[in-house]
Amino acid sequence: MIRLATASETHTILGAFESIEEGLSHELWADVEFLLKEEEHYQVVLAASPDLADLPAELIVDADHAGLRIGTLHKDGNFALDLQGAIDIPQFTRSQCIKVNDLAAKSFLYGKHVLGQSIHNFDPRLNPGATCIVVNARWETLGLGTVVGRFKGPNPAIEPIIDLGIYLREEGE
Amino acid sequence: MDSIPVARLPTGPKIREWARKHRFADWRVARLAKLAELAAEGPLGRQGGVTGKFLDGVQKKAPAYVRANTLRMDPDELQKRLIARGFDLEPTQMDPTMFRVHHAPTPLGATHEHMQGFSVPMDLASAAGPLALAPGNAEVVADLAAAPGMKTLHLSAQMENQGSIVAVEPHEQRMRSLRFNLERCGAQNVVLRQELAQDTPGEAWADRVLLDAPCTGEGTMPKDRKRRRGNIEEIRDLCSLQSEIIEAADRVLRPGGTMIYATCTFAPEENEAQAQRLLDKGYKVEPVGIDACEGVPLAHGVTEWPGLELDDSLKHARRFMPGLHPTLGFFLVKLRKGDEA
Repeated sequence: MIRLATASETHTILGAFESIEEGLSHELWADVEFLLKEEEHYQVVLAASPDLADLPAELIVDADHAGLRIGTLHKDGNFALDLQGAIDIPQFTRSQCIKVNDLAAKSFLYGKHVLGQSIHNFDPRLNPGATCIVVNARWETLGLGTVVGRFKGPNPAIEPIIDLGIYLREEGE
Repeated sequence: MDSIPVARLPTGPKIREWARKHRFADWRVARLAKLAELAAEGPLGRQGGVTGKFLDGVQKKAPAYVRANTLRMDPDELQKRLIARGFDLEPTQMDPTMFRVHHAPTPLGATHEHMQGFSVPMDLASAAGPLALAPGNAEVVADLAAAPGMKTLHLSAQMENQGSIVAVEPHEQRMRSLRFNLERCGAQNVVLRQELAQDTPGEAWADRVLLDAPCTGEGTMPKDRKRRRGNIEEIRDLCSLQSEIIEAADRVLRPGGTMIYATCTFAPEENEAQAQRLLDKGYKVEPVGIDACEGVPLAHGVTEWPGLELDDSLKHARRFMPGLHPTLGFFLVKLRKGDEA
């Protein structure tokens, strides 16, 4: 079932972006409505044109998908950022971002980890275990990863969570 | 619903010889030759040698094109980036967001630009559907045979991610491709429904309908040799399905709304004859608004075809014909539903 997010759910979603950078939620989501798709253990958060919410209910309630999947809302009240929710973040803030070189960008898009020595720029507040946004030399989002090591040296620093190559890899399956 | 008669035309020795040489079904060549003959009676005739060019064109690989996804990328910037990767691109006259690819060092789908949703591969002819529909930003559009979503994305970009598109696709695997493509390219104004168009609920909720109907795909012969042969009965089967989907399209379109009916096939039974069904319900044909492709006039819709009674206004339909146009084959007609329909 797909439904409009309640005021409280919207507050939680926007709050997650505010925690990355103050004012970010407005920059990213001022012109959208949030829809939620109910799954068994969580809800998929969909950023949608406000006009979608005005469609006849019979078209949207049992639809398979609507708008852009930007994250998931969990029973404990936490919002988890998804790939498309992170796409525009580096345009507004360097917070949570890890900038990598071209070689690392290429291999990350094939689902590989990032070595410490491939990192050109990073948010110093990122600690091991944190989720980060991996970006290329143009500060364009390539995907999400988990910090697993030091941001220098020959060892893996970022393990991939999801990257833009997934659309091609999974479509081909 | 009356079935549409499918014309089996006489095949003379010349046609049989050509068909044998090029491994086409006789019946198909006879129909293609007849269609080319009719096209030559319109402005396309000025090109000269229409039948020969067309029969040559359906066997040759068509050029590749890529569209800049303007939801995420400026066309000039995409061109710059792909050129830096060794691509040779040229903007098209028909759609300034599209580029003809003269040389590709790697498949376009393997580029970072593709993965990042900056580019969308699509044939130039099929871009005509969304261009002709020309949806407004606040409108509701039904895209009734949506996968793999290249036209849906084009509509979304035209609408600047505003308004609403209800995209319908019955097949699970194709729906997956559709969803991935929309997500990769950042479309926020699309609702996806996995169902037969015939099962899509409601009435008169769409301001515009894009129906790029399932078809026999003769227009894809340049890239799919299997289509050269086939069984003429297939046209009859597809006509029945198209008629059912057209009924659904008519049901969801509001009175006064606009529909683009399109296919990637040449058969008038699957094209003009299906549009005629809507004319019989009070629809009117409107000019498509695209009269040429890269400087070459498009073929006009046919108004005479064995076994069919077609309204003269169907001449406003348009056909892209490989060999004459640098594209795959495509048909489209623009129809306006009567206010009282």
